[in-house]
Order: sequence, then structure tokens, then C-alpha cells
Amino acid sequence: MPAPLPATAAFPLERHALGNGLLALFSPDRALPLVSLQVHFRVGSRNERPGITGLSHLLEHLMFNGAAKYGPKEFDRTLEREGGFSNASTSWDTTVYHEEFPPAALATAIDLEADRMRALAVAEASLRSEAAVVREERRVSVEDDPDGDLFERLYALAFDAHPYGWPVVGWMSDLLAIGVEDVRAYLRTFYAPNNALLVVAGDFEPEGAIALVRDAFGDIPPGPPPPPVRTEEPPQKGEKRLALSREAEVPAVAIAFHGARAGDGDDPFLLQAIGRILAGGESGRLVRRLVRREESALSIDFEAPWTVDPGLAVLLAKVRPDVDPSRVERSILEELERLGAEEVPLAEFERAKSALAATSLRGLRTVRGRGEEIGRAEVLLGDARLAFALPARFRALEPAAARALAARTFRASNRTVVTLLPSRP
Amino acid sequence: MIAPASVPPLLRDLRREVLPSGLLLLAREDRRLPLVFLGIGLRRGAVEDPVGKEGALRLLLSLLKKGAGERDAEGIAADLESLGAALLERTTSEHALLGLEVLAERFEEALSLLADLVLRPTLSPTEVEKERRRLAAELRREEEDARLAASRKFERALFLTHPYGRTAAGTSEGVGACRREDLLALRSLFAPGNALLVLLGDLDERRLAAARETFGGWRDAVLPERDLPRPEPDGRRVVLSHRPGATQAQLRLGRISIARTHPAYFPLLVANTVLGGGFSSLLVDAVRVNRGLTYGISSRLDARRFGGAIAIETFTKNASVAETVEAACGELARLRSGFLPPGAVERAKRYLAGQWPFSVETAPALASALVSAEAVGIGAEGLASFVPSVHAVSEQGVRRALPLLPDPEDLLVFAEGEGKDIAPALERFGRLERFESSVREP
Repeated sequence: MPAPLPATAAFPLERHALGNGLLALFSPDRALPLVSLQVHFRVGSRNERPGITGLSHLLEHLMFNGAAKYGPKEFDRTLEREGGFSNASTSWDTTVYHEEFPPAALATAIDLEADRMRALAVAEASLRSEAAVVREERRVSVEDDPDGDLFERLYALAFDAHPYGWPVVGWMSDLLAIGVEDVRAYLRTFYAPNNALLVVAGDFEPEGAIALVRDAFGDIPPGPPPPPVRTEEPPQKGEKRLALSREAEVPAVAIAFHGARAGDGDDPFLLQAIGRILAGGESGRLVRRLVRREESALSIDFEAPWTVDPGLAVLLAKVRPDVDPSRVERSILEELERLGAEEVPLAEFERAKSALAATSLRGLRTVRGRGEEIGRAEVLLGDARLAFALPARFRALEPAAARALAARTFRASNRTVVTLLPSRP
Repeated sequence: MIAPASVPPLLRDLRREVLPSGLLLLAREDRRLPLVFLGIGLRRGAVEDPVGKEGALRLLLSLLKKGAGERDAEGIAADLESLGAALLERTTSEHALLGLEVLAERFEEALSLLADLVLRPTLSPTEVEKERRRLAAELRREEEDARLAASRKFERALFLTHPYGRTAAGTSEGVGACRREDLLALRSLFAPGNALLVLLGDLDERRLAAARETFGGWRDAVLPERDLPRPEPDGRRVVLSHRPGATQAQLRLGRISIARTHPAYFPLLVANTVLGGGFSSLLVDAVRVNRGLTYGISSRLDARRFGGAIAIETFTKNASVAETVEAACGELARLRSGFLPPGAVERAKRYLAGQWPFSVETAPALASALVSAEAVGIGAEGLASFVPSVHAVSEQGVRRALPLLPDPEDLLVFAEGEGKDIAPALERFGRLERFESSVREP
């Protein structure tokens, strides 16, 4: 039996609630002179509707184009002048802004974030220019990227009703049509302090920081509670399939199943363990079988991202150029069925748990990583403290529960398959 | 220990010792998380790949885990998983690194595994064949990434016959041509005098002693010093690599540049940051913010041991290729002629100095930087003085370095995209060469 896993090094975590609903989460660590400041808004493509798909992500871009105190081009200029860097990302459920900087720049970074939460400027010219930039982003990540295209098709096919079916980057036609009023309404609804978390991780002193945060954010008025997302994905009634023919170097097959929501107890953790057993490192069952023994696949990847509403668990196989993808698909389905039928041997299950514990520790190595894990734990798991408890959560999993979940999830009627077949002119 | 007060904390407590075998040991303790990194770096990289066999060193690194000591490939895979290991296999033109980041309590097992991989690889003919086929196919898959493919081809087109023109990641033809004998010959790079043992993370004296003991007996032939000629710049060239059906063109505009140890390295680095570093550079302003032509544009100074390159990297829809190249060249020409916006030098310096610690925040990143610093000839001391050296750059120094930026008239203009859509735009910049016929064997 492998030795028990070590406890996670506990980074401190403080919670401060402001009167306007803004939640501040602090995790100081003075080991290195680095700080990450993040604002996590509880808004993503999940909160959009047809006609404004991609708006969450487009707004993420606009947030860098000027507010009341810091005008156009001033955000990055001001931060870079103090040695800082900023970027942001949008997902199905959240939009996260982050700055990484030396400790002396904390007050500036807080001021910059408060300014754009309070008074973002949304002008027609900057919207048009930024929408053009996003269309280039879409081209590079979807139109000209076989994997991006494949995933967009897969999600669109798997979801009949829920907003996870449209791409976070948005449909091209919506990116051409979204107007200033759409942006302003969205901003009013979702970019209020009561819909946000502010996270600071790294080398800073919490008393000073909370004073700065209260000063900068304290008088931003709260907004009305954002409207709930009502649509639930109805249970899938049968297998769905698509053969996608496009420019690509190698064939691929993606198989998706409707899975769990992040808040569903052990299920999201068990899905990660199942993914590790199938496709983890070089020892995953499918890696050994398809990449190594049969030499039919180039790579096998598994993902089941944690989401507010039930998301997808996806297996992606990149297939060797001379192999029929349906052969790879059959092998994958056999292994999935086996997981539902037979319990994973304990030693194999323990290996997967070790790997996942180590992976979750690696997520905490950087100030940015810690900030993101804290925000993710709060938004998706409902408790920021779980950011530091993930190794223990993985450690506690049992193979019997993994078998039961596999049997429940990997059913033919719950399956969506997209095959990519390279076309060559 | 290297420890002047100006040295960043990450490197202040770096331990440096040369073991009797000649192996350089670099270690830093950081016990905040129960993780430890162990790696063996090499001061030579893919420039050692035999001609026509690009990717040989990458293939060798990848094969180490396919059998070593008493372990077979599946045994090693299971061991890695139970150690919680993240495996790092890195091959660049001038260095290579094999590393494991594992759960700290498994340190001893990880050390023994690393020693097997490095000192006792099997390289069985069956595994060589299997891995050669896999990597050749993997390289075809990597071609799907337009940005990666364009950057690799641009380097080939830029360095031409110089060994820096060899694609460190390999090509599917190059890997296809590798034989087991080539790999056995490359194994000579794994000599203690050419290697570094890097240990970072949850360490203590006992673990360090175990590492010294494990690698203390490593004896291999001494490698002769390696000297490469300086790469020499060409004049203006325009090269097109055809990518059927692409809706965007990947653009690389660059020229041969200085070595890492050149006295003008830091002033030129600051000048290059004004041009294309961060989100408030001249290029981002002109091409992304003002014109909405691209999602991203940057300029990179890639300074190696014997010379390097400066390259502007961007992409745009097919219809805006000419406008994007013109806008980028316009900014380059303007800066080169002496236009420095007020405050830009100071901002670039602070940005470089402020962001540097983030680039080495994780153990694998710090290990890569340490190995690279050794390979390029600056050592850990050179890495430690990065921030003070940036602060010491003056605006005058930057002005003197501006002529070292590429002259837009002398650039290699490289584009990867749908030929029929972008060739007419490219022809405006010079006689168009096709990538396939423009490269020679490096």
C-alpha cells in the first residue's frame, strides 16, 4: 500500500464582507515579493441568450479600454509602469480579471479595478474595434484550430437547451451585431460588487489591504440580484453524432457525456479520478491500450471542467493519420463500459488519487494559482477554504463510488460523439 | 551561495556546488508545499541533432521513460503516476532538461527513478521504433497549431544553414530518419561535466545528501567545448508557407540579432519591450488597439549563446495582411529612427523587472531558467543579476541600441496561410519565395 498523502500546506485565508456585497478573500504569504489581485465576477456565457452570445467575453475585452479615472490605454500603461501585468479570462460561469505585480503596486492595482467596476466607459468606436479583435481571436481559436472547432461542435450538439451549448467566444454573427446598449445593460446587471469576489494572494499586509479595498470599492452601489439562469438541460434521450470534415492533420474523435455540477458532492471529484484512470499521464488505461499497444491514437485527453450547472465529461482521442477513428471509438467505449462494470483495483485507484493530489498542490504554487483556486472554490464549491483541501478530498475517494458513477454516466443514451475527418484539397 | 542584497529572493538562497564528477548541483529549499522538483539539465541542445535528423534529442529524452534499469515502459508509467509526478521534457537549441515534480514524501523513489532514466536507459530497439513512429505522428499533429508551426518554420527560414535553423522540437521527416545508433551517439551529451542536477522545493540536508550520493559516481567521457559560428543576417526576404483553407495568416517579421552575452543585450531588451512587450507597447497600440487588426502582437528578443533573433509575432485575417505588415513595420521604423514616447523606457524597465520573478515562480520554470542560463554562458549569477541589470539601463543606452533593432528594409517577412488569398499582399514587400524551396539543410 502506498504511504498516506501529506496534508496540504495551509496558506492562511481571511474573509471580509463589505456593506455593498463585495466579498474580499485574502491569502497572505510573504515568502516571495509577488502579489496577485483578482476580481471574479459571477457571469459567463451561461448568463447570455441567443443574439448576445459572446457578450461576457467581449465585455472582458472592453474592461481594458478605459473608465472614469483611468482613460483609454491607461489601464495597462499604469500597471506596467509599476511592474505589473494584467489579463483576464471568461468561461461558462465566471469572468476573472487578474493582475500580478510587485508588492508596492497593490494600491494602484486596487484603484484600477475599482475604477472600472465603478465607471467603465462603453463607446461605440471602442466596441467596434474590440469586436474586431475578438473576431480575430475566434478565427485563431476556432475557425483555424481543429480542436477548437471540434469542441464547439461537440458542445453545440450535446446541449439542446442549456446555455453551455453556445461557445464562450460567441457566434460570429452575434459578434458583428452586439450593440452599445446590450453591453451597458449587461454591465449594470452583472458587474456590481454584490456579484463579485476580490481575491488577493501573496506578499501583502491584510490590514492595510482591507483599508485600501474599503476606500476604493466601499461606495460602489450594489446592483439588483442578477436574474437566475432558469433553463435546465433535459435528460438526453439517445446518442447524438456528427462527422465533421475540415482541414486538419490528423483525425480525432471526441466523446462527451452529461456529467455533474461542481457542487454535486463527490461526483466532480470522482469524475476527475475516472479521467485519471482512463487518460492520466502515460499509465492511463486508454493511453496504454491505444497509444502504446494498439498504436492507433496519438494522444488521449479527458476533461470534466467544474461548472455551476451540469457540464460535460469529454474524452478526446487524436487518431493516427492512417487509422479509422471508429476503431479508436470502439476501444474507448469498451473501456468506459468496463469502468461501470468492474471496480478499479485498489493500487490503480490509489495511483490516480496520488496524481490528483499532486496536481491540486501544483495549482497552489503561484500567487495567481492560489488566487484562482480560492475564487474557483468559492464560486463553484461554495467555500473558498476548499481551495486548500482538494488533496484531502481526492484522498478520500472510494473505487466503489467511482464504479457507480461510471455506470450512471457512460450510457449510450447520454452520449454525444463528434468525429473529425481531415479533408485535403 | 550567491547572495548580494540586490539579488531576487528566489535566487538569494540558491545553493551551488560542483560534485567531484564535475556535475553542477543547484538547489533551493522552499517548504511551503509538499512538492519537490528533481531534474537533470544539459548544457547542449538540439544543435547537436545530426543533420537531417531534427528531433533526435527530443526523441532521446522521450525514450528515457520507455525503459531504464530494471524498469520497463509500463512500470515507469505506473511509478510516475504513484509519485504524483509531472514530467518535464524540454529540448531547445542550446539546452535540454528532464525533470520530475513529485510529492515530497516520495523523494527517494523519485531520485532512484531519475537516476535510472538518466544513467541506465535501455533504448531497446522495439521501444525506439515505437517511440519514433509516435513522435513522427505527433509532430504532424503539432502542425495543426498554426502559431507553433509558423514560429518553427520562421526560425528555419531565418537561420537557414546555421545549426540554430534546426527545429529543436523536430520535424516528422527528421524523426522518421533517426536510427537507434543516432540516439546512442547523442547519449554522450549525458556526461556529468555537461550536466546540472537541479533540486527545488521541499528539501532538507538528508535529501540533498541522498542526491549527491546517487549521482556522485556518475563517470562519463568529457565533452569537447562546442563553438558555433555567429549566424549572419540576410537582406529583405519574403517567404510564404502555404496552409490550405486558413482564414488567418500567421505573420513573423524578424532578423538575426545579438548573443545573450553582448554588451548591448539589456538596452536592446528594453528597446524591444517598448516596441512589443506587454499590453501597452507601440505594436499593441498601433495594430490591436487603434486598428483592431489582431488579437495579439508582440516582439521577442531571443538571445542565445552565439547570436539570436528579434521577431515580431502576430496574426490577422487574410484580407488585412498587407495593412498589418505595414503598420508593424511603421512602428519599427519609427522607434528605430529615435521615436521614444515620454516615459516609455522607464515603463519598459519596470515592467521587465517587475515581471521577471513571475517567470521563475514555479520550480519547473526556475529549473528551466537555471539550465538555460548555464547553457547560454551567464550562469546562475547572470540570472540573479537580471533585475539590477535592467534597472541600470539608461535612456541614452536605449537610444544607442535602437540601430540594433531590425531595419524594416532588411527584414525576413514570413507568412503562413492560404497562399491564394495572401500571396498578392505579400508580393508588395518583395520577391515571394515558397517556404519549401527557401530552406536548406541546416
